[in-house]
Amino acid sequence: MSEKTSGAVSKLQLSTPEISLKTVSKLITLKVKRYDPDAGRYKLSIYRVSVSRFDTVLDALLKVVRDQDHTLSVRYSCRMGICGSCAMMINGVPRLACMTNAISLGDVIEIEPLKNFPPVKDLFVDMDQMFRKHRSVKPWLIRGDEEEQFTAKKEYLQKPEEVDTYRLFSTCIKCGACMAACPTVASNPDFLGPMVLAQAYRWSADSRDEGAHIRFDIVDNPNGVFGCHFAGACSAVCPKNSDPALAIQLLRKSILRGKR
Amino acid sequence: MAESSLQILIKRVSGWFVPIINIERLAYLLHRLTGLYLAIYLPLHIISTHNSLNPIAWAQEMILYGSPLVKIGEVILIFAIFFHGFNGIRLLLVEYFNVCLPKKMPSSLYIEKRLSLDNCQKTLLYLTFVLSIILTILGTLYLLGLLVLW
Amino acid sequence: MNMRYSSIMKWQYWTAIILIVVLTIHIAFRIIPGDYEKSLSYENVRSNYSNIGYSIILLILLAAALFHGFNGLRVIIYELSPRAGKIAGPILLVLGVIFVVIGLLTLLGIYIFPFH
Repeated sequence: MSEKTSGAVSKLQLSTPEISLKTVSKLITLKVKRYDPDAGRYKLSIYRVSVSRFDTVLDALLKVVRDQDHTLSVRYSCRMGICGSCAMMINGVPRLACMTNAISLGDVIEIEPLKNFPPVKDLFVDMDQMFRKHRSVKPWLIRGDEEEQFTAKKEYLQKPEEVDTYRLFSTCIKCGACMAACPTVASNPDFLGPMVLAQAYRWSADSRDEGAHIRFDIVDNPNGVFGCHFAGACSAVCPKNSDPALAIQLLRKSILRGKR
Repeated sequence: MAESSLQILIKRVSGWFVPIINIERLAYLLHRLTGLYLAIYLPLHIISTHNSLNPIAWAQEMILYGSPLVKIGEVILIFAIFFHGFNGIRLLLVEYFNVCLPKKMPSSLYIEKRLSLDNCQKTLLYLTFVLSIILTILGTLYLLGLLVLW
Repeated sequence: MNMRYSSIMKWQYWTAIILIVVLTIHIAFRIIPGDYEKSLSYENVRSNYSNIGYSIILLILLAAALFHGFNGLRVIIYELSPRAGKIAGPILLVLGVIFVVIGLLTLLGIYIFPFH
């Protein structure tokens, strides 16, 4: 797996069994921890499914849904790592199921719903709170010229160097993997979270934006940027290598120095 | 099903410990644990040094400190001080003095290394662990009287 | 509180810097005699305290360490339960002051009971 697709997560494959070029398909076991909303607790479902060398964990799960258990609920959409819908815990690490090769994870894959989010059913979780926190940092252009924003007569000009300051953080697909990996999100439900803080920085660093001081006031508290103690797990699991930890470090720098 | 406060507390604290995905997260956990250890040690130390006003109480205290349990605690203390100190210096350098933060972000999205987890910041992290371990070993040897200085 | 939270965090950073300096000096005083056991002898400890410069260093260490440590505790408690964190703040402040006073009494005690 190249570094560019999923960063250090590729180093996390604990044991890579020999996958010869001739391996057409292999029978693997999926241990899926599913949430049952009627019973209010988790249950374990074990499936054996045949995967090819190229199948992803999402492919494996959909094979299960199609052939074995129609009741298994999985949230997915694009199947190609751009929508961010299929984030779940795979062998203890939050990853996108559609971007994770199944056969290289070994004979048994443990799949659980995304950590730090309230479960809804089976493998998908309620993302409302994350998006509510996202909205609270005003992830849009804040400018004085509101008239121009709604009845645009010109473009806002921006040099390439000005885009560089936030380009990396704009690649975030809001999948929630970083929120699942963060230890502070795990212990403090009010903590905004790496995705939200990175987006607060992305919008504040944008040269077209004039609302940095508003966002700084919002995140300057123990539930904002100062709840981050740099565990770095968010950047380690980000499937787009969007480096939220760096965004938070830059945000902290801006707040402590008092300017953008 | 409502969870009791204790269950919620245990779940939240366990979130510090698992999953350890990267070394920075291990450093975060150790920083927190050593910080707790030091924060508990400090008041005890302040009270115990109060006995320096009375030679009899002091001698009694020294006998108490000779016990193996206290010695083990002291070795952990040495690690706690050095790790918390060096990791703290690393955090200060990055968060307050902005060492290793890029002045100019790269213009390409296809960067090989993540700027927060590789290169400069990783070097600081490895230095922290290496220095902590070396100084802990030296400190323990000195504590046990096995290291002759001068 | 009108004071921005980043101000409290700046204090956390500054006490950290101060602690690195004074703690190095404090540890140095345990290493200079060359033998750990000897450095903890009653005579050596008393002579350390009668050095006024060192006593001032110890006072700075006391205040900075208690602030840094108890603020850290408050952060952890707040993370686990914001309600408990708000209560813990003033409690830890009071405890901090108490321990500063105990430490101060130890340092001043050397001058009140010079030959014990």
